[in-house]
Amino acid sequence: MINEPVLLIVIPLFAGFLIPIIYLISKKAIKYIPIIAVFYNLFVLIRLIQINSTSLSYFTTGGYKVPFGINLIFNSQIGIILFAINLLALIALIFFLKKEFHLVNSFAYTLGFIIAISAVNGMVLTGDLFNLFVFMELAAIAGYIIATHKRGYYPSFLYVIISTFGSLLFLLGTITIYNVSGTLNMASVSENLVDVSPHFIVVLSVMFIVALSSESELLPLNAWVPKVYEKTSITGSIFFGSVLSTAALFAVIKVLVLVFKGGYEYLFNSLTIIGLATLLIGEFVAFKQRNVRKIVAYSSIAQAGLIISAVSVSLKNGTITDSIFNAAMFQLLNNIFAKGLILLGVGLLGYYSFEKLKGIAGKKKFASILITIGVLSIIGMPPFAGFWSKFFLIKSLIANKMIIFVAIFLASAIFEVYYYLRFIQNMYYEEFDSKIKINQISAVSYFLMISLSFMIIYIGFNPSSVMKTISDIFTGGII
Amino acid sequence: MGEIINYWTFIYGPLAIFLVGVYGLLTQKNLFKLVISINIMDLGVNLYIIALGYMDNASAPIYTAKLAVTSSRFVDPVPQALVLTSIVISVAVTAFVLALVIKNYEKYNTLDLIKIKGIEND
Amino acid sequence: MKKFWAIITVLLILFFLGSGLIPDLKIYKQNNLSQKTGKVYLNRTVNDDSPFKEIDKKLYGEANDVENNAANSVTSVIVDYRALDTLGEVTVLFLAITGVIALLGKSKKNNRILFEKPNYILNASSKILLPLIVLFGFYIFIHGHITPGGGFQGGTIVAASVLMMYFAQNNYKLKNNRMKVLESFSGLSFLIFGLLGIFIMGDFLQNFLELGIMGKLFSGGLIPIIYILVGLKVSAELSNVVYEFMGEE
Repeated sequence: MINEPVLLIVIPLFAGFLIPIIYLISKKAIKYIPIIAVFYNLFVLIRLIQINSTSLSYFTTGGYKVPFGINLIFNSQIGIILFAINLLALIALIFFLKKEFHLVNSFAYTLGFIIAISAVNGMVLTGDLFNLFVFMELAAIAGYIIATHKRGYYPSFLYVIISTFGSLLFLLGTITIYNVSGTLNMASVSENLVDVSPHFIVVLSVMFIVALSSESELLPLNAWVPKVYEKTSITGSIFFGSVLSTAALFAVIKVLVLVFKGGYEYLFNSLTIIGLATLLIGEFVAFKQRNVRKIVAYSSIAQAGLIISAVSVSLKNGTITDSIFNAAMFQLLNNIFAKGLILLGVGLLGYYSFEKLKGIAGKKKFASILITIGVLSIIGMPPFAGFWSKFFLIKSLIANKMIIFVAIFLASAIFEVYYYLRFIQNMYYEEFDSKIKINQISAVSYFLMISLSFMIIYIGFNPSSVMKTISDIFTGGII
Repeated sequence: MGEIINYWTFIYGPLAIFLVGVYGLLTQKNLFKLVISINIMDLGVNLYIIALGYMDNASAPIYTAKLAVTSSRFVDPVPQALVLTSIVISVAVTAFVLALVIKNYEKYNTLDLIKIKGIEND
Repeated sequence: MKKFWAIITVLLILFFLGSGLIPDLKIYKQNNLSQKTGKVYLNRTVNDDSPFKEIDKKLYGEANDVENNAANSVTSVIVDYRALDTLGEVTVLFLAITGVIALLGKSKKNNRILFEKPNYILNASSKILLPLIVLFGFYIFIHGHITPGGGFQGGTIVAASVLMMYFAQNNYKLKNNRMKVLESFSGLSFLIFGLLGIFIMGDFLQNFLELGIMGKLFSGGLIPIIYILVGLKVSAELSNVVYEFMGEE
C-alpha cells in the first residue's frame, strides 16, 4: 500500500489514458472506469487523512528535495477539502453517466471529466508555481470542453479568450519571480524576494491577482462565469460551481499565503477592496436576474469575493491561524455542498426561468424541499451549514473590530436573502402553469440530492467539530 | 550604446509584442483575429521567458566534449524548459480554439463577435 | 474611439510593467546563476547538502555517480527534475485533441479538403520523403538527452510528415484509431514508469535504472525511455489534429 498524495493526480490520469483503448473494444464499458477511479481516489484520500497529521508536510516527486524538485503539499485539513471536492466530482460524474452520457460525443466528455478531476486535485496539492500553471491550464481546457456540452460554443470561446489572457499573465509573473528570486517553489519564493523595491511587489501581486481571477471567479476577469453557467449541462454547472471554482479559490489562497505571506499590507488592503467589490457587485447583479442559473452564477462570484476578502483581512495581520481565516475556509467548504445541491436540483426540474418555475413545488414537493435546504444553507439560515460559517465569520470579524467589513457583508446578505427568498416564494406560492411539462426525476438523482442535503444538515448540527477538522490549514508549512 | 540597445530589445521587445496582442484583444471583433491576438501574446511571453534566461557570453546548456565540466559557462536551463511547456500548451489551446471557431461559424453563420452576441441575446 | 481607449490601456500596462517590474529584473549582464535553481540543475547537485557550492567536476564522457546523467541539461530538467510538469503537459495536449475530436468528430459539414490536383513533384517525392522525415523525427526524439531536441520536437516532425501526405495525395487517409491506441499506450507507459518509481525507489517518477556514461546513447536511466514515449505520444496526437482538421470523406 503506497500512501503518496501524487496518487490522487495519477489515478484519474490513468483512467483517462485507459478510456480510448477501452472505447475501441466496447463503447459502453467506458462508463465504469471513471467511477472506479474516483471511488479509488476517495479511498486513498481517507487513508491519507488518517495517516497525515494536521501540520503541513511536503511530498517530493522524482526523488528531488524540496526547494528544487516539484513538491506537493498535504495535511489532513487539505485532505478534507479535497475529499469534499472529489465527492462533488463523484456526484457530478454519477449524474453524468446516468443522465447526460448520451447527449453528445460521450467519449470525449467522459475523458474531459476524469482528467478535470486529476487537474483539480493537482491544483489543490501542488506547491510549485509553474506546476500550478500547468494544472490550471489542464483544468481550464477540461472546462472549455465541458462548457460546450450543450452546444454553448460562444460562451466557451469567451472563456478560452479570458482564461488564456489570465494564464499568460500568470506565466509572466511566474518567470519574473524566477528571475528575481531564483526559485519556483512557493514556500521558498517569499524568503528569496528580499532586495526588491516595494513597487515591484505591488506590480507583481496585481499581476497575480488579475491572472488568478479568471478561474476563481473574482472581479477583473469573471465575465465568462454567468454565460458559461447559463449554457452548459447540469453536470457542467456542478463542475464549474462546486469543483473548479473551489479548487481555484484554494489555489489563490495558497499562493497568497505561501508566496505573499506577511508584510505586504498594501496588497492585502487592495485585495480586501477587490473582494468586497466583487461581493457587492455580484449580489447586486444577481438581485436583478430572473434566471436561477444566472442567480447562482452571480452569487458564486459574490461568495468568492467574500472568501477572498476575509482571507486577505486575516493575512494582513501576518497571521494565518486566526479565526477569520478558519471561518473563511469553513465557508469555502459549505459552499461546495450548497451550490452543488441547488445546481443539481434546479437542473433536474428542467427549467431555469422564474416564469416556468412558478408553483412547481406543488408538483415536485420533495425535490423542492431539497432545493430549499440548499438555498437556506447559502443564505445562512440557522439549522443548516451556511449559518454557522457566516456566524463564525461575523463573530471573529467583530472580535477584530472590523465594523465596516461586517456592515458591507450584512448589506450584501440582505440582497442575497431577498433574491433567494423571491425564488423560493416563486416556487411555492405562485400559480402553476399547466401547459408546462414536468420532468421525471429518477431514483438515482433523488439519492444524489438527498446525500448532498444530508451533508449540509450534518455540518449544520456539528459545526464546531467539522470546522475543527479544517482549521489552521497552513500551520507549520512555512519553511 | 550597444549595451543600452541590447537591454531595451531584450526586455521591451517581448513586452511590446505581448501588448500588441493585448491591443488586438481589445479592438478586434472577428473571432479568428482574436485567436491570432492570443497567439501574438503567447509569442511575446515566450520571448520574455527566453530573454530572462539569457546570459552574456554563455553557451547552450548541453555538456559536450569541449564543455565537459560543471564550471563551464552555460545559460540557465530552467527558462528553456519552461518555454517548451508553454509552447506546447499554447499549441494545444490554439488547436482547440480553432475547432471552437469552426463550430461557432457553423452555429451562427458569422465570425463577427457583435453579431453573435446579438443572436445570443435574442 | 475604441481604438483610442485600447491604446491608452496598452500604454498604461506598459508604464505599469516598465516602472514596476523591469528595474528589478536581472537580465543580460546582471543575470547570474549563483543563487538560482538553474545552477543546481546544471551541476546536478539537487540532493547534495550544499547544492549551491562551486565545483569543478568533469561530467561528460565519464561514468559519474550524479543524480541525473543526460548531457542535455534542458532535457534533464524537463524529463527528470520537473517531470510532473511534462506529464501535465502531454495530458494538456491529449485533452485538447480530445476536445477537437468532441467538437469536429461527428460534424456533417466536416468534408475532406480536396485539392484540384496535387502537385506532381510533391506527389512523386512524398513517397521517398515520408520514411526519411519519420526517421529524422525518431532520430530527434531518441537522441533528446544528448543533443538539442527531444520528444516534442521529434513528435512534431513526425506529425509534419502526415500533413505532407495529406497535401501530396488526395486519397491518403490516416489510420487514426491506431494513433489513438499509440497515444493511450504511451501515456499509460509514462504513468507505469512513474508508478514503478514509487514501488522501487519510493518516489513518483524517480529514476531506477543504471545511469551509464554521460554522452552515450544508453545513458540517463529513465530519461531516454520517457522522452521516446513522449515523442510517440506527441507524434500520434499532432497527427490526429491534422486528421481531424482535414476532415473525412
